[in-house]
Amino acid sequence: MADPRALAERAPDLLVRALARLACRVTEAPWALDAAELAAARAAALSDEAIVHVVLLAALFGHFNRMADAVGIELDYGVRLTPPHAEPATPAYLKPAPADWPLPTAGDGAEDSIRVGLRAAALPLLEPWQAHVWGQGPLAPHQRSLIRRTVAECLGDGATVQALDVAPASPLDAALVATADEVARAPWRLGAGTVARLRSAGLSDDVEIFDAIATASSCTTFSRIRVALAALNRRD
Amino acid sequence: MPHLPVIPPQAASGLLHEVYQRALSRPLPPVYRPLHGGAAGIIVAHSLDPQLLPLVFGFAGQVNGQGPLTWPQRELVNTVTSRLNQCFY
Repeated sequence: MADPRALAERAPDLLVRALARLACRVTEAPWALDAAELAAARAAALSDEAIVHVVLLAALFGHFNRMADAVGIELDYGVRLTPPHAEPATPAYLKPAPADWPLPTAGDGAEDSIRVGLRAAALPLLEPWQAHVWGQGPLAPHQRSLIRRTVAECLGDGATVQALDVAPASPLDAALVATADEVARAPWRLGAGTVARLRSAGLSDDVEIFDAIATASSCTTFSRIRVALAALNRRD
Repeated sequence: MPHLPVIPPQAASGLLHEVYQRALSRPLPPVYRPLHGGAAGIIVAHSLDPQLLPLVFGFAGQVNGQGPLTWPQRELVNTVTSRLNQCFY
């Protein structure tokens, strides 16, 4: 797939176009989803449950993409074509201004909003993953909070930003913030340099370095889901 | 060569070994089975945190293993996402 945005704009099949468009939006700018996007997806015969499914998949694969490239795993399968290389010079994803952060809604199931209570089987499985990432690991609690807050700011997750009153207080903290920003906004740059930066900043234990990257990557999934569903529920 | 150490199934012990055993015993569509016959690289990529691994893949199994989207539709969404993120794995 050379150009997913072309698929989102010009695919002859309306349903393919709608799926690609939603996936693009969730991946690049989940805060920019709105009632018009919701209406367009429904007009393409996507159920609310299918729309939520797209959000969950794009958020999950965003984590897989980041972990694959940060750790540096090799391909498992044979390929007929040579895969292209990531382009580090690609500009980072945009970061929303606070005024554009969608507010979480009650999800009360009103007629014009998406019912976030769907996908009931999947959402409870997110909670243990979230609890582990937020609560445990070799990094100190304030370091985990810094990473969480940075990722939340990158994706417009105002609820998480407001809940975490923390700022970098050391060069290592600054390196963790820079890494979290890179994980969230420029995953194509993840690699040996990411690991080297954290080592230079003072993390010498590979498990700590992994924790920093995996925490940031996991938080992109959590914040992306929260923001995308809140944005789709927006009623302005 | 990975940028961070990974622990493949054949080198795992303790909790990680148990986690791998459970992951590898789950049914998997043939097209997803790695050519090398071991665990997929994305699973091994999480090996430095054996507690995290089953939590991520428990969620993944639920979201990427069933509907309402059909398998081709799920693959479309996953491919669009990965292409935008420039992840060629």
